[in-house]
Amino acid sequence: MGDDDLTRLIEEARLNRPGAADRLMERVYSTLKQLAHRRKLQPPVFDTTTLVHEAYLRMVGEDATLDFASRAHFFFFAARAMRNISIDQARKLRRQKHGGTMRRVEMSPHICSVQDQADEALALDEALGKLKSVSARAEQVVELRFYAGLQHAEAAEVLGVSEATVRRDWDFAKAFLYKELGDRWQDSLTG
Amino acid sequence: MKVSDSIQELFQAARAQPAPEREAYVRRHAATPDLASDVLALLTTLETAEDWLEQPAANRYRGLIEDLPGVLDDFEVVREIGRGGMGVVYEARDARLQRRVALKVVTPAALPGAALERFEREAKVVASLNHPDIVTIHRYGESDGRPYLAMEYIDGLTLDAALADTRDGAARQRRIVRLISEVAGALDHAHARSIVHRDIKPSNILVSRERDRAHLTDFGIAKVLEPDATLTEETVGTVHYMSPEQADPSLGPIDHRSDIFSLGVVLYEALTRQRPFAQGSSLQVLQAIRTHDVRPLRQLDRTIPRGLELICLRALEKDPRRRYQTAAHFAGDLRCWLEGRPLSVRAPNPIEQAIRWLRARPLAATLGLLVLVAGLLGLVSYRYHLAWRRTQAWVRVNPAVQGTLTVRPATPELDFGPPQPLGRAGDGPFPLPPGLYWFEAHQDGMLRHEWIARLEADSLTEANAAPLAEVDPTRMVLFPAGEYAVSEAEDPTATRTVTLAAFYLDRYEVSNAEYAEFLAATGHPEPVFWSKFGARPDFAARPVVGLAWRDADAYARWRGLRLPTAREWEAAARAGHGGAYPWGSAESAPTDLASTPCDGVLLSFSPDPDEHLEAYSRFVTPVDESGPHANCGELINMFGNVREYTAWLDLAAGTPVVKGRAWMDDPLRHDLTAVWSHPPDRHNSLTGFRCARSAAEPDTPPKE
Repeated sequence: MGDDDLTRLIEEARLNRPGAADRLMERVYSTLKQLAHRRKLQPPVFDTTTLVHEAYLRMVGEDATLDFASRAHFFFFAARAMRNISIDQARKLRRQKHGGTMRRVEMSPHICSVQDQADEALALDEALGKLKSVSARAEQVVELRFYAGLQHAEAAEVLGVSEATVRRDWDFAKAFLYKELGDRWQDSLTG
Repeated sequence: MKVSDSIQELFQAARAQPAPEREAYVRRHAATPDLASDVLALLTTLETAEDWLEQPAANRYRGLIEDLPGVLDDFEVVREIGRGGMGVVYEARDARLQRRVALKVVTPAALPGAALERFEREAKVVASLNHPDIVTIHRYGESDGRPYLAMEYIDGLTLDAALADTRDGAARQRRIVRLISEVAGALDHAHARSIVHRDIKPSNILVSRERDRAHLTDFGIAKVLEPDATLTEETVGTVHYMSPEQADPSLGPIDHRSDIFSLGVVLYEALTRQRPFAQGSSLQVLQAIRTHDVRPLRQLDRTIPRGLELICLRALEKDPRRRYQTAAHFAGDLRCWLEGRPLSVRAPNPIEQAIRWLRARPLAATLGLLVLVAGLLGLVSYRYHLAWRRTQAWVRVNPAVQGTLTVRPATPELDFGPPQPLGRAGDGPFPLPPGLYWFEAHQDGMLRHEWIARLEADSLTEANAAPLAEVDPTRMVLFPAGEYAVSEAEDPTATRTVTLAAFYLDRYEVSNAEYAEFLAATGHPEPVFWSKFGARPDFAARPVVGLAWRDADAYARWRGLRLPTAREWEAAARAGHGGAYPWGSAESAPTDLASTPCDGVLLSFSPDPDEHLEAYSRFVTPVDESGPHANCGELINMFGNVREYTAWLDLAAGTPVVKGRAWMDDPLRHDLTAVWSHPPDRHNSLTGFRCARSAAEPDTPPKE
């Protein structure tokens, strides 16, 4: 569904019109949550198209003539929305946990418990903050690659840099984040 | 590149170098040694860390991002507790009963057609288990095509998590032993009902926070979900706890002893913090389970007591016949260890150890042949001794039993032989050939205790019975010593005369109210469907059913009574007239015999408690209310209401002999000679029991 309203909203957000960014974020956020909810009813076969792509198709439409800059902007917003969703849910869960206790259940190796997911999501968010102070672009690459699920080439297009640059930033970002989170867990084990 | 002070720049430049030269490159170009080591650490991290960021957040945090399902039938979902290949577990509230439940929602894709039916059937069978240490299944249901199980919610941790941050030491060992003995007790309850768990592992053992008690969960369900033949990714996490017969189906069928092995693995891992078969891929682990002897626990941790090591290794025997034969025996040894009492396991002697060592190493065995030949004579005699030991059943008598023991072995003619002296109660354990025995304890010329027990080879039975109960003449009927007519064991239509010592037999069957006193006093596991049958106030006077033979035996011992022998039962039923029917012979059958409800035949196979309940409430009467033509003299409902366990066990099959007639048995096709045989540990909603005791005439003075 092509949506002029959305196109305009993205445009306004890009131009820093007051309130536009918030409204855009709200739209993207709720679409993503709806999609996630719908997807939950399907059998757990992991599709390669990510939620963000689905959201893009749903909100912008396949043949919408969104200019390049607006399209890039959408993905930034979508990535940020995904990051916010994971953080919000993780915090919510942590509050719930405060009252009761978690019962751990055997997991398949690929999926960890929501509690582990929550812990990790919050730790990752913190580590991303540190990464940003070292390399802002590396943080953006993580948002686009991890949260928005874009391929290297897509992320390169959105960022306006070469694919090789994205790959190099991505490697650095991963090393940085794995190290940060690894140290953190090390501390929690020994401390 | 010149010297750099940017961690990112240096990292990326180093990544462009061939791997062997990176370290030197970093040291050469880093502005400071600290920067160099930071960059090197990052390089190593990228090589070694699990590369999870490659998985998009939408998948990685799927559980977080998706909302909970909200409401499922009567259950309000509170939060997700965990998920695995087969589905998701939620904490939920049962809105109707206002209680907390764990809701396991199965992914339909994980359960194609036939498996779904099996899952449902299995869930219903497991739902019939009723034991404080088994996580109760409240309900099986389906919502929007998604099958789910509502289970008791245990506020606590899985066993591995509960033990994870506890410190080594004696207190930890004792706690482990207590928890595992609780699991073994729970397993025994399930095994007695022919339910094998098949997936014993730490994550299926929940330790409650409040009472620190173990609860066993996921009965048989995992089995349905993971067909044995295929080793998929999902099963990888669980092969460590498989028994040899699970790892290699060609070794034979899997029975309850497989669970005993798996629980042995759990015990081993808990005590040593190492899995006994931990090496490599799952196929390698399976191979190790089949062939490798486990390392004795004390080689890993000298602080583990010898007795505990022996118990654990006994459970981990590769050959099921050499393991504990019942989970109760396993639990019993663990409790004995806790209480500092003697164990039934013993250390293998050096020769036996040598044989085992050689058996595992064929080459060494060949080389060692000469040595063995040299020691052959001594060995043979020793092996004979060991073989003899293993053929014996061992019985230990509880210290509460006082006096001089005699024992009467069962004979093939459904009878017991003359008493033989065994020793004093405090002595022992006594070796006896496996079989059925009648024990008596005499003191001061009087019979003080009596019980009948089946002893199995290579096992230790602890004998216990309350002091002989006073006789209530309104409850029991005396049958004086003398000659009685009974059927031949070989040919039930032929009658023979036997001489019996005086005995009392209950006038009527044991009621739910009486059985409830026993449950309350001892904490004995409840009969199946107890909440539907026995616990109902309006059923208090009806006969207790849904129990296994050994439950009836335990009740009788607690009362200071015993079950009647099959001979006594039939002799009492035929006393006075000698016929095979309460009214005498088949020809003199009364014309107004009640017709029997024939749907009862199918009922015996129904797993649905409600069907049993309906039949029970329609056809079973209070114990002292006589059915039509069902009384034998003063004995009420010998030939009606429910069938009755006797003390007799068919020696070959090990099955209890059940006498009498249930409401659904055709009174002209079955008579007082009829013998029903049930699987030994199986409960039955058609079978109850009445108690007996010997009439305590003064003894001939005990032969000292």
